[in-house]
Amino acid sequence: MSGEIFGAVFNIQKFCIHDGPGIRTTVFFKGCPLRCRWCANPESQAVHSQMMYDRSLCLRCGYCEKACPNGGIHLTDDGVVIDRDLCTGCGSCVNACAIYGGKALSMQGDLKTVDEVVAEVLKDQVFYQSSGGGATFSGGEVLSQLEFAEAIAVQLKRHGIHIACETAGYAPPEAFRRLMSFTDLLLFDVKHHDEASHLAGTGVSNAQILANLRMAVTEGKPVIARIPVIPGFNNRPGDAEAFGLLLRDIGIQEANLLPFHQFGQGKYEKLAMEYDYDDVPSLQKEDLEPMKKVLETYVSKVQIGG
Amino acid sequence: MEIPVVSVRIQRLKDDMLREPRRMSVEQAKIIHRIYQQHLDDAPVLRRAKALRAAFEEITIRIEDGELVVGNRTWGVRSGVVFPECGIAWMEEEIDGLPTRPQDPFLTDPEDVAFVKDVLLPFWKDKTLESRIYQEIGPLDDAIAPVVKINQKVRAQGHIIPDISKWLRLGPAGIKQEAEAYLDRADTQEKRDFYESIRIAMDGASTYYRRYAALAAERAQAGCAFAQDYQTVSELCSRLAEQPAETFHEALQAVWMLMVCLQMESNAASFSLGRLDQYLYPYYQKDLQEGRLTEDGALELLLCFFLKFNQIVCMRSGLEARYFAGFPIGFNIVLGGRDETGALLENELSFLMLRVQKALHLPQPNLSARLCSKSSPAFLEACADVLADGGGLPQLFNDESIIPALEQAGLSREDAASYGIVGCVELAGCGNMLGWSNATMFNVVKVLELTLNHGRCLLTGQNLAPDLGGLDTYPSYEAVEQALRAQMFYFIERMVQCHNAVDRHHGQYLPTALLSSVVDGCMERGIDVTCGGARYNSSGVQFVQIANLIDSLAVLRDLVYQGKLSGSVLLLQLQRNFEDPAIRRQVLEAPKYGNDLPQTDVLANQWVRFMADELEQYRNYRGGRFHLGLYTVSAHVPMGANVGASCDGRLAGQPLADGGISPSAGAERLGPTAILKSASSLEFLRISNGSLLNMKFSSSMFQEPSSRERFCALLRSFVALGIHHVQFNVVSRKELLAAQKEPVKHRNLLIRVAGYTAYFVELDQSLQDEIIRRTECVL
Repeated sequence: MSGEIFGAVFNIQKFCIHDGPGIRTTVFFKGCPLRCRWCANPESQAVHSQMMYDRSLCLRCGYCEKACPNGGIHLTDDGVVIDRDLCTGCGSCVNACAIYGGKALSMQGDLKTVDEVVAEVLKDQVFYQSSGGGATFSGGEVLSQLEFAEAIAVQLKRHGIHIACETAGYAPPEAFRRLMSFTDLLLFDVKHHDEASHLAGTGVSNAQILANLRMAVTEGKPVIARIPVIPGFNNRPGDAEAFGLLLRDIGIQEANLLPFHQFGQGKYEKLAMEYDYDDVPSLQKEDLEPMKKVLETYVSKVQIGG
Repeated sequence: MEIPVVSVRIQRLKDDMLREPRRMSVEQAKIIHRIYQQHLDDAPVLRRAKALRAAFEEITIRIEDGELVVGNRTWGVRSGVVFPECGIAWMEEEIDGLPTRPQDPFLTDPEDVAFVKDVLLPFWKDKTLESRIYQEIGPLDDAIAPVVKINQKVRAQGHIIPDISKWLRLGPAGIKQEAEAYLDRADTQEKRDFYESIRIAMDGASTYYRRYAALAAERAQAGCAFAQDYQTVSELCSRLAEQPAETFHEALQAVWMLMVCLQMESNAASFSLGRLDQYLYPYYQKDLQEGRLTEDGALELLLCFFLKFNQIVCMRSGLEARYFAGFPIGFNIVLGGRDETGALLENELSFLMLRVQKALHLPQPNLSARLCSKSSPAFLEACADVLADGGGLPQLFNDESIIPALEQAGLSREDAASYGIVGCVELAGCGNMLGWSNATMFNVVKVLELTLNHGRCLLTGQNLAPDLGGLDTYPSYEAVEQALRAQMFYFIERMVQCHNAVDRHHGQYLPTALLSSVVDGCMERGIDVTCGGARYNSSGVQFVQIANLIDSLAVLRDLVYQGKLSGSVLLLQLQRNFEDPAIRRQVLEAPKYGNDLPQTDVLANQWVRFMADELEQYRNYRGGRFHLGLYTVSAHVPMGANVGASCDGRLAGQPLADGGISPSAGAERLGPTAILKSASSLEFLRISNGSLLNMKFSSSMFQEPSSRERFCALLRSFVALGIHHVQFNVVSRKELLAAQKEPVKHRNLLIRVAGYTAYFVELDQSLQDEIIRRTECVL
């Protein structure tokens, strides 16, 4: 029974209008093999559930400390300290905080069955029909829970749901081919054109990624290449041309430029994680116009934003 | 969409209108006062017709500079008319404060104030509709008032769509002839009085036209920039006094004049116009074909015409204004939609009127668009285009759910398919139905309070209902439901008794011959519309408020009677207004309506069906049915003020959920699709008096073509889901600032951030600031 396959999902968001065509429901799979230094969803990187703590909401009431069965959370003058090694993700402290405290604690990531995810996605079928929308698998990285995603997709396909996958494409070709088999549209991240820079920025090489991208295009899968434009990383002089040459060579027809933003900033503190881009200002649409112009000479359709 | 040019003429008319202070007017009151005393022995219908004719003959009239559609019920624009026959008791205490009150102030003239105080109030004390109703049902009405608000006790009914086509086809002269033919055959004195009254009223209406014709001619002769226009207006008013409308311009003038006449007869809210794009289309088409009119010419006329709807306002007591705050007079116009065979009826006028609305951006007419499964993409886009400006117009209605609901309520398929909207969101046949849509408001959250607290009011401790038990004694959830049903029976029965008395008093003391002549059924049967002459007669009961009821019941079912929270503890917390915040959190965390959750939404439907079934047991004074509405206008605020803390976590005195079928503020967490899905779980077939759903969007939703397309797709889904009505607030900077101050109240505010859409209050302050700055540029 596919219903018994579990997976880690950190959000199922309805009425998404920028993750593929129409009105969509986006399923965020937890876990990612990349470690992009600018990542806006740091809670998506680990596969396991993670506690998020918002110091500004904390009432310093200490109910979480009493609730924790493992002694993994302690109240200090400066708020609570979570011993992430002792935390099993049972959620007792989150419940206590919701009722007695300030809702400062939240659990990121939920174990869900295939059936649960499918049922949630199907709820908005009427909106997909009227808008030409569907489901988008995002993350994290959908490839990190391929079996789970595949099982969900099989059921959704029975209902004729259009499936888009937002992926970084980092997987062996056999795995990527499996992803392609249930995907109607790939929203494929291309973070850097240069292998060494890619490795420095994301922790992995782009060789396999680009090979998968090429395979998708060659096999006729609809693909939109997405370049997250990160200050100082891939928007230096010459980057736009290099991206253009690469994408043209692969045969990409459509590309999106996604401006760097700081929406993830607060989450790093809440997760007690380091963030390298703390003081880097967000990019605006206008900042990307020159890059768009250059890219348009290589790729037929380029837009800023998803 | 191409926005029509607002000419200097239109801009001046608009500016002048908005600049003119609202004044209290007693001119018609003096006429009514005089005629009433002269004709004490006449039947009320006859006496009122004579008073109306006298008003048509005597009221001081004026023509605004350059207007192409003329007519008003007072000399000034936006005057508040004192109408002694209905209810003026409130003026005794409030008249001195009228110019300075916060909500809808009106300037007063000292002589007029003296007339009201010294002449009107003493004379009419025991003769108004209000006083007569009070004499009959006062104590009963007072006893149920904390739960049921019985409406229409202080003013005439209104809330109807007249047969505009008939008025255009016959005009006052033609209707007079029709009445005379019936008069010849009338077999009772009652009928003779009725037809005679119509004859008198129509004479008066013709006279009113002639007086405007004369005034326009006078102004034309005075020579000025608009002399030619005044000449045209004069000629067409002269013709309309004797003949049916023939041109588009004449038709617009005639429609407006009918609205003026109805207001002079009734001084009531919500005389609505129905499918004006349909009625006017033949005139428009003919004029275009015969070269009398261009599209630009039609737009200029429509701009003048739409302005007029903002010139008549309703003067209400301070209390009434709380229930209908900022709710103006309810001139509702519907556009588009289909017929009973499914054929689409959008036409050029549907689009022209949307463009006029976009250009004027005024609150009236209350513009409504009918959507159906076949609505054209262009029509949806045009609606979105007007909505993008904020202001919430047009509101959107769904033929696919409304037509079956009206059929279920007893309308023929054809009449149901040509429905219009009365006032705000009330559903009604056009020109054939007195729906009394705003008959009563039934506060079911208060009933639940009394059910859980031994029949006692949580706020005052008073016994308001029988003691059937309490949350500390009911052994099971089923027992709570059973007691709730019993308490509802108790109040429904008394509500019906009160409403029927009010309904009967309107027939007895406020018959409306002029209105009756343009409501199908009355002329044929010789019965006034207030006495049941219309083809369809119903009374609308508003069920207030589904979200709070459901969320409360879900807490009882899933927490209290699942052993997770003690009933006695919760009752104590209700009595102490959630002294313990932990208990309040616990109930706030429970599943809530508005999140597409079957376990809560199933309750919503169950109670809607119960209420509808219950109401069907009764008949109103006019022989019609009671039917269910789920809308509150602004009454969720005062009605909430009267309810103690509720099981859903709402604190004592806080507003109830808004709109009618909207989720409680902050309860919905999954966005617009989940809200629509939850709403769609209601059995709309049984909600034939209308429902109201409020939704909010950021203005950025309307900026890019790609997101606008998705908005239109959302509208198509709304149709497919079978929800009667939805209206959209496009968010303003002001609201964003308020959301920053009180995030919990604005948790459902969706905003386009960068590449995605998010909840505004979940964003960091700095980002919020950025969006506010950005929005400022956008709006």
